[in-house]
Amino acid sequence: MSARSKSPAAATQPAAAALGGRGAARRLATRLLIGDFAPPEGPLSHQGLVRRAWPFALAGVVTAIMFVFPTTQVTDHVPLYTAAGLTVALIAAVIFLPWHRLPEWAQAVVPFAFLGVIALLRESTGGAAGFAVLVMLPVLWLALYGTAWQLVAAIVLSTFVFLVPVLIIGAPTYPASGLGRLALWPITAAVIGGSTYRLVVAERARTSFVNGLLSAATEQSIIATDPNGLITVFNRGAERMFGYPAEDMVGKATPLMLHDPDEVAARAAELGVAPGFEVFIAQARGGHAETREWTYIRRDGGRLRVSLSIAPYYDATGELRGVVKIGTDITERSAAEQVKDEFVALISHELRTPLSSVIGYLEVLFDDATGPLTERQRRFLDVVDRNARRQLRLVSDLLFVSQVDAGRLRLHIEDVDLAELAKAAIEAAQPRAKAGDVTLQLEADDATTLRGDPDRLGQLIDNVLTNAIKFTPGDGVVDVRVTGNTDTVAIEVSDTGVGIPAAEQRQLFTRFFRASTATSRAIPGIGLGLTIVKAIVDAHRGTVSVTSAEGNGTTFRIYLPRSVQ
Amino acid sequence: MATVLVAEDDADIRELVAFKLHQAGHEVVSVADGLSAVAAAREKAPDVAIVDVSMPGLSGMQVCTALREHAATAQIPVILLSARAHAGDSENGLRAGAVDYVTKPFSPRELVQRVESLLETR
Repeated sequence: MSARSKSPAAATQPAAAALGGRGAARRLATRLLIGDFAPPEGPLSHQGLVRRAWPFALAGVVTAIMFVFPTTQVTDHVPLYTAAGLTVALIAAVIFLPWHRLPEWAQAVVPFAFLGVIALLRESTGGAAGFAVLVMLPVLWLALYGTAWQLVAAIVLSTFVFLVPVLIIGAPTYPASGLGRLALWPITAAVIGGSTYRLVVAERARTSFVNGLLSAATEQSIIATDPNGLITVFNRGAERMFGYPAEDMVGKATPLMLHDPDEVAARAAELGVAPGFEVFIAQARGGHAETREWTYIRRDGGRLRVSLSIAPYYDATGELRGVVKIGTDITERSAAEQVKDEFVALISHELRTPLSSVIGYLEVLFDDATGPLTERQRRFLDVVDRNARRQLRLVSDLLFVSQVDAGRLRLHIEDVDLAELAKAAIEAAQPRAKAGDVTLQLEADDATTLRGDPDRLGQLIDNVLTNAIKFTPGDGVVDVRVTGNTDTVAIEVSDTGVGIPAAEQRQLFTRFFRASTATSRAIPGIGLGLTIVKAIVDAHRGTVSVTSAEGNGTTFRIYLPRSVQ
Repeated sequence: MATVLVAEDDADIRELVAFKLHQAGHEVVSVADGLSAVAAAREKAPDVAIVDVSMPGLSGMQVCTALREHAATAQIPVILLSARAHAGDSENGLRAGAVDYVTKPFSPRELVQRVESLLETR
């Protein structure tokens, strides 16, 4: 484990300990039962070999204890001491030899040598002490990790282990039951060893199938980790994306090193967790998968924009085993989006400039008291002015949405009284409401002050209110209610208008979406108003919801926290 | 009566502002780019300068900075005029030394009122 991976591991350890004794006991039991003899998940590590050899060491210790009891008759001390020495030498070899540099068949020497140890033990006791059961261990080892030929050889040789006392002491003194065992053992060994071997081969085939699938995904980085953040899978796509070979990552590193630390810190603050691997697994702990944009950092320092899905994965007992992170490079796409945003910003700027002249000169004309403006001319110029302003609003909305998309929406936070803003918005909307024969009503609590951006919140109320008026036919009412709670201030805008079909309500906040009730009545608009409302509400960490029945009016409810975090 | 420098590359807007200022009885010096704005400010010593943010040559911000750097022009209050409505822009403008920041489209009447209230406080 590298130094990097230690910190997140340490951070999550207390949490694991807090899970309680039951889980720990189960894990220990699992490890004792199958852990050490289970087929390897990856290429054999030195640690794996040591773990695999410990049953031999344990058997050695038990054997040593057996000799202390007087019931174990030692007929010959020389092979006994040879066996003891060989066992110690074997264990030392397992621990100290640089196995990863030796060919893989060299590992098979260990179980074969252990067969020799068992033979010596049997010889030293005349085959009476029951050491024969030990031959199961090397056979099982080779069934799990060896080749088919090594297994066959082990079964044949283990049969000779039974023969040793017969050959050395001679048949007459050999217990009669031993001969039966001699005949039955190869069959038993072939069945147990063979079944195990076939299971292992099938398991390896499955593993290599899954690995093949992972490698085939060369366009996506697929990285799996354990619950502490240690990488367990680093596929071909990830190798290509980052320039790190899998063997440098698997079991050695955490995905933290692949991320922009500032982004991780920012996300940690959002989630309220420590800025470590917890950032990626926090949602997974709750059983949620999430997809967000992140910045990945390549080995050469290059930066990539990725759309990253992080999902939890579980073992058969339903316990969280870690997360899978699947990333797609969207660097080019986001660059294209940036170009688009810049284009929209430029266009909006270029569109605003001529409108400035139109609106400015109109004002001069209206103000010019000495001018010969007739009533009719004035009315026509009003139309020009109204349309110029409408176009200006569209351009501003477009610019605003492109800014939100580019993440450039900045709030200027100060104390804002939402009721005051609502009052101002209603005043400004009064002429339009009168023209449409709609009555505007305001109802407000006393304590409606919150921390927010007054311009943006004003824009928000304007948009909701304008919509309400626009979609309310003559003789209608629009109610605006501003209420303050302990932590939130709410504004509710209800109208008696045409309503929104239930099926369309989900799409309301999608940009350029227009309800069928709007299009069928030819109510003007381009479908940005509510997109902007949602963006402003989100920026204030508030919520917006809508209830509506077609023909029965619509209510928008917006809750804003008193303080934006 | 005061002298007002109007630096704006859009001729229509420049004429509009000049017209309103004339109407209010002020003398107007009009220029169409940043460099001329700095030169005119040194030569004519206007009481107020209205400077467009995006101009060829020097930008409005740069004009502002240039005026601050010279003792002769350091005291001229500058009103920046911009078609950009980015929230950060007004802050940048005020940091560059402008006293006011007006977003296009603006009301010419209001702009003249701002100029006059600036003149009163001097």
